[in-house]
Amino acid sequence: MFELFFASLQNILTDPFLITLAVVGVFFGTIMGAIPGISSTMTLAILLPFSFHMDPETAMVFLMAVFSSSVFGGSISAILMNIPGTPGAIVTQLDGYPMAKKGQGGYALTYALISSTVGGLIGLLLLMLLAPMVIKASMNFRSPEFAMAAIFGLTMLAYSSPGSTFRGIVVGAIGILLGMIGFDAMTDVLRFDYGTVFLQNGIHLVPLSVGLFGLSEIFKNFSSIKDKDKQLPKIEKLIPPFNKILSLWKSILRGSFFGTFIGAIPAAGSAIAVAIAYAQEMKLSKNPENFGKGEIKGISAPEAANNACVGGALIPMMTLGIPGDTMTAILMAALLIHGLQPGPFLFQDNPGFVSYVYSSLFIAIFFTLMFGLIMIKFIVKLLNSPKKIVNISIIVLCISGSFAIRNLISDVYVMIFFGLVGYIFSLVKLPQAPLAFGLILGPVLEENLRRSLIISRGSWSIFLERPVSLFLIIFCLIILLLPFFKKIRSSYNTKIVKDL
Amino acid sequence: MGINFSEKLEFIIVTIIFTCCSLFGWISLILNPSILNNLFKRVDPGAGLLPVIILAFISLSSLYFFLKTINIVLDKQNYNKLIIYERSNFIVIYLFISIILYVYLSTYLTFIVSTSLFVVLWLSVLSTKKEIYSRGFIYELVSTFIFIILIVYVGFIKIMNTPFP
Repeated sequence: MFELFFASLQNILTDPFLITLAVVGVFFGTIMGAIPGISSTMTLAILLPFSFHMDPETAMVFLMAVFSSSVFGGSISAILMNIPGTPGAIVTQLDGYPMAKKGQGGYALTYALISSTVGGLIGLLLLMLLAPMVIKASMNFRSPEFAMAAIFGLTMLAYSSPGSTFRGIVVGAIGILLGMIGFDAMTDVLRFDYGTVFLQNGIHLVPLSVGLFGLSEIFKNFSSIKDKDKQLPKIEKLIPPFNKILSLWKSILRGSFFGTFIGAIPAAGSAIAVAIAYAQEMKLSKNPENFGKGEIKGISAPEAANNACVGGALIPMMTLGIPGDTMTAILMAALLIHGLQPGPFLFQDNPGFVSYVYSSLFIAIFFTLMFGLIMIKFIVKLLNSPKKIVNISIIVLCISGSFAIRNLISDVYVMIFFGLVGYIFSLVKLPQAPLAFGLILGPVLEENLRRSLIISRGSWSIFLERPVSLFLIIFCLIILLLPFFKKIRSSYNTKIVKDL
Repeated sequence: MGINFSEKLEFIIVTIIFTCCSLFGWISLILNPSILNNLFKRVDPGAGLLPVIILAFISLSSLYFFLKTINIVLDKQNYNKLIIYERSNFIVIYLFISIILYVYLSTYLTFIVSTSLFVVLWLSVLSTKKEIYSRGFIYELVSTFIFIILIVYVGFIKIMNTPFP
C-alpha cells in the first residue's frame, strides 16, 4: 500500500492541473469553512458538483482538499470571532478567543494550524495502517453482517444527533423510504413513483445534501442577516517561539489518537472527539485553571483531534461503506456517483484509487499548512466582507450546482424542497443528517437484507446465528434503550430526593 | 434571532411530517399492490419487504407522536404561545418565494438574467436606503457579480459544460 501511496503522490505532484485543483480546493475550503454559518459539510456539499465531470482520482484530489482545509477553516472564526465555523471547532474558541483578545490571535492560529497538520497526518497514517486490518476482518462479512452494519450506522447517527434518539431514527427511516423511490435495483419494479417520470428517476443524493446542509443553513442565516457584521481583529505576529511549539507535542499526540479512534466510530463525529481531547488535556494539566483563559494546550489537543477525525472517519466509510460522519457521507456520495462502491471490494478491485485517496489527503493537509501560513492575513481580510454577499453567492452556487448534476431543473426544485425541509426540521428539533444517511444506507440495507433472506429461505434467524451480526443487533438495542434507562434512572433519583 | 416554536406546535408539526410520510408510502402501495406480490413467499421477499417494514415503523411512530401531541394540547397548564417570531423572520418566507421565482424565471429569461435580477433584488433588500445610494453598494454589486460570474462561467459553463437555460 505504501508503494502505491508514493506512486500516486508522485503522480499528483508532477501534474500541474492536479496541483492547481488542490490549491483551489484548499482556498475555497479554508475560506468557506471559516465563514460562520457555513459548515464544512455545507462547503463540501456545495462544491461537490464541481467534481462530477472529473475522473474519480482527480475528483478525490479536489474533494480531499476541500474536506481537510474546511475543517481547519472552522477554527479561524472560532479563534478570531468566538464563533466556531464547524462543530469540531467548538472547543478551540474556549482558549483561542481569549488569546485573540490579548492580541495573540496570530499565535493562536499558528498553534491551531500546526496541531491540525500533525493531527491530520497521524489520522492519515492510522487510516493507512488500520484500514487493511478492518478489511481483513470484514472479508468474512456476508449479507447479514452488512445489513446489520447499515442499521448500526443509522442507529449511531440517531444516537449522536442532537435531541431525541427516537426522532433521529424515524428521520433515518424516512431517509430510507426516500432512497426507495424509483426503480428497485434487484427487480426493476417501480416504487412510490405515483406514475410520474420525475419520481421514477429517484431522489438524487446531491440535491438532497445541498438543500439539507447548504440551503437550509442559508435560510437560518437569513433570520439574522440584518445584524451587524462582526469585524475581525488585525493579525500582527504569526509565528510563536519554536520552543513553545515543541512543548505541545504530547498534547498533539494525545489529541490525534483520540480524534482518529473516536472519528472511526460511525457517526461519533468531531464534536465528541474534540470535547474528550480537551477534557483529557485539562485533567492532565498541572494548571487546569488556565484552561479557558488562553491556554495553548487547550487549542492544540482539540485541533489535532479535529483533523485526525478526518482520517478516522474515512476508516468505516472506505472499509465498510458506512460513513463516519456527515462529511464522509457526502464523500461517499461522490464515490457512488463515480461508480465506486466503498467497502472491502474497493480495496481489492481498486487499490490504485484507494492510494489516490490517501495521497490526496496528504497533499490537502500539506497545502492547508502552506496556505494557512502564507495567506492567513488575506483570509482574515476576506472574512470581513459583508455576509449578505456571501449568502447570496452561496444561493446561486447551490442552484447552479444542483442543476449541473444531471442538467435537470427538477433537481433544483428537489434541492429547494430539501432546503425548506432542513429549515423546518431545525425549527422542530428534528435532526437532518439521518435523512441523508438513510438515503445512502437504505439501498445497502435493502440489498443485503433481501439477499440474507434468500440465503436463509426466508428465516430471520440468520441474523442471530452469525456472531458479528448478533453483536451489532445487541449493540444497537443497547444504544436504543439507553435513553429509556437514563429516563428511568433520573425519575428514580427525583423520587428519592422527593422522599427525603 | 430565529423563529421559536412552542413545544405544542413542535409536536403538532412533527406529527404532521411523520403522518404525511407514512401516508405517502401507504397510498402508493395501495395504488400499486404488485410491489407486495412476493412478500410472504420463501424465496426473494421482493421489492415490498423493506417498504412495508419502514412504513409500519413510521406509522407507529406517528401514532405515538399523535398521542403525545394530544396529551400536550389537552394539558391545561400549557398556555404557551404557539409561535414566537420576529417581524424580520418573514424574510425567510420571502427568500423561499424569490428562489422559486428565480428558478422558474430562469427557464424563460435565461439563467444569467434571472441571476442578475435575484442578486440586485436581495442586495437592495438587505441594504438600508442610505447604503443603496452610497458608492459602497456599487462595489458590493460589482464584487458579487464578479464572484458569481467567475464561479458560474468558469466553473460550470467552461469547465463542466453545463447547459444553463
